[in-house]
Amino acid sequence: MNVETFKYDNKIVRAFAIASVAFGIIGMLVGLLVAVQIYLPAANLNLPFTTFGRIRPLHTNAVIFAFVGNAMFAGIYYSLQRLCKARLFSDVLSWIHFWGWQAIILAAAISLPLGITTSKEYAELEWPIDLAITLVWVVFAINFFGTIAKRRERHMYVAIWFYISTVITVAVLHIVNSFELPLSWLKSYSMYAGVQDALVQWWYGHNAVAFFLTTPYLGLMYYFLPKAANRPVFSYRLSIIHFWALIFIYIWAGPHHLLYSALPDWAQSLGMVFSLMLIAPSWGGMLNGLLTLRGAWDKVRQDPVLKFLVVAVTAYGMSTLEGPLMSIKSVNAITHFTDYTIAHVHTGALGWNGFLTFGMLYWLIPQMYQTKLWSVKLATAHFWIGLMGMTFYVLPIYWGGVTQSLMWKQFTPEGFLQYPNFMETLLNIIPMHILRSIGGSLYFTGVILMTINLIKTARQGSFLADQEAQAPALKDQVEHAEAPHGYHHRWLEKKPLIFTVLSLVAILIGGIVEAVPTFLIRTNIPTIAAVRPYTPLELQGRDLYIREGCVSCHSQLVRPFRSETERYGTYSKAGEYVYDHPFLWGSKRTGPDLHRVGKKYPDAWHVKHMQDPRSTSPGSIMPAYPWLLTRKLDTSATVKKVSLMRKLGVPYPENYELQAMADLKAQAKAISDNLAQTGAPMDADREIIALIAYLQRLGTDIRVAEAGGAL
Amino acid sequence: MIRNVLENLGGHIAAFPVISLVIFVSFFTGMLLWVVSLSRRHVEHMSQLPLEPEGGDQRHE
Repeated sequence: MNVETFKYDNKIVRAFAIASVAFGIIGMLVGLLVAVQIYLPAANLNLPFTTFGRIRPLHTNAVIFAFVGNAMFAGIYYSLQRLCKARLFSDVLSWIHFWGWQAIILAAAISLPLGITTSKEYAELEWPIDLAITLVWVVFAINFFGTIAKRRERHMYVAIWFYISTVITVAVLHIVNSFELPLSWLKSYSMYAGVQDALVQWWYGHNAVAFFLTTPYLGLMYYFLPKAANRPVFSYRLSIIHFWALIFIYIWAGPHHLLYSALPDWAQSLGMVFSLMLIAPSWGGMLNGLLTLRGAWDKVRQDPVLKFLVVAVTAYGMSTLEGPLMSIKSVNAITHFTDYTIAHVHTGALGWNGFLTFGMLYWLIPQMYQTKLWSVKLATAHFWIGLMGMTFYVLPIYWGGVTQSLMWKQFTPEGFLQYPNFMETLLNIIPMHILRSIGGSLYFTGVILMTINLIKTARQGSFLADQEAQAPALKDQVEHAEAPHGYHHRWLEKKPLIFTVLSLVAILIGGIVEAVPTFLIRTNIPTIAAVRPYTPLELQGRDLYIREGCVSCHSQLVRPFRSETERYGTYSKAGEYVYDHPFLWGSKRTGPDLHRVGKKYPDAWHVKHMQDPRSTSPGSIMPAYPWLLTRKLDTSATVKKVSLMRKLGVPYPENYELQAMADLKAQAKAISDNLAQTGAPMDADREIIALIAYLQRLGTDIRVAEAGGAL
Repeated sequence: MIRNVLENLGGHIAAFPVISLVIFVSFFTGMLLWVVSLSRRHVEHMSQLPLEPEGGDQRHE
């Protein structure tokens, strides 16, 4: 038999590992900064670039795509080579992938603080960066499938299946959610509007959690857990069921992010039912991981790697039980828009992704440096500090989230809201926010300990850049005569192409079933005659709302609960959003809902509120936006914006472009005059004027409709 | 164009949930049958894959 000698590439694995730790530190620091700003708004340093609305997406993008993303690539490239018994397909592609990904992260780190954003959660990056992501992902995919093609092991282990589903699904999600029409190099508008935009966005958002944060990490679990425990996975059959059931069901569950919204009811119910079904594969996977350690729990006491992996797998189980429970409509009515969701995602992020990454790094670095871990004690200390940090992070805001939600919903015996002032419900949970940031600091301290430990480990060892290995070429391998009827059993694991196509079909079915009716049946989005396109000034104001990331803290979606209609006004209808490119429903109410804020306060109130929120709302934690009062509104793209909106289907009259600037100026002057009369003089060309125009318009069309009996 | 074609499906939209259910049930039935029919030896081989020594493949030596 002709045995071939080849070398595994450890350099690329190390590069991604280092990038993961470095960006993990930065991403978590930014997270800490936003957490502090919740109770100390002055921590924004009074700069637009470091204000909550702009750096909250920086935090989420950094931890998801930079920390987890780089760790995922490190783990995939390490395990893929070993499982395929082949060096990566191309060193050049590996390094283009690495540097391309880091360049994208850098572009995000620059553009987000500048307010260049699409405002769609976890897809905030503007279209040139979206294109770059697509290109780098294609490079990754070629390198990935190329490696599989030149493998020396006939069968693909289940970890590789999870990686394949990641590669193809992330590509599909990213492309579909990024359909946008560019206005300039730095600005684009979603092709979808309102309810459809919301459905696509949360189909994306939900499945980004599934296929960026979950499936690749499950692949890593199925590789590194057996490796670290030195025993095979508990049940390989169960892992097959885990894989197919998970990728098939996950896709259907997206609408659970939009319960009680203006999305059609059948889609909401579908999302809820499929979310509950997800418990089965998720728990099958968790138990499969934990049972792998049967008879080896004594090892967990000594080995920090296993400690981290055990907590990671447990956190996976906990958050995948919690997620489906939160998808039950009556539970969602309480948890949605509150800190409970933030606690939920951090159980997943800190526990599952964080701890699995740490466990993997503690195993990988000594392995590649041919040495032992520098200090097991320090790693164990990291484990306990991290675990405490996670607990102190999630528990206070679980508590705070439910408390605030119940306060929102509380009525007096006379039938009035008990806490009509939003501020009361907010100030009540500030201590929980403080505790949360202490938890976050503890977790961060653990990461610093790990960094020291890994650097010391690297220094005491010698790096094995190219690890030599031997295996016969695939064509020289004789099939094991394992069963007379063995062929059809294993064909799938031997045929990467068919396998990939089948996975693609599995993930497309759920998305198609949900999207087709929503997009094609017009009756799903009832039109309301009184709803008119935004005026040019309001369009500009909306872009400022997007730039400042107002959507991070304010929803624009009044749910059909009495507690909400009493507080905000009539509930939101699908037909009200038909001209919203993109939709701005938001997912969190750190501040009150704004969908019915139009005409609620006088113009002058908004000026004072933006200048110093505490002057109008004592105790408010909203940052001040003084720059809106001094900056001149850039109107150079107004006409282009109107044309672009028309292309997207907004019915501006023919040749309205000729009229747009005059209309903008007239409306700005009217607001400016009104402000002068009410003691808050402001030039008509300031940004604040456009923002006021937009805010005063919000949710008012329907009042006209109701007054006129059009509904 | 695709939009028009699919919109013409509108008349048959009632079949949509039924088709979805059939796809769903057959997917799981097929998967379970497949998993149950796997041979023990093959499953063992697969689950040992991550544990093979990194330097070489001893099965073939």
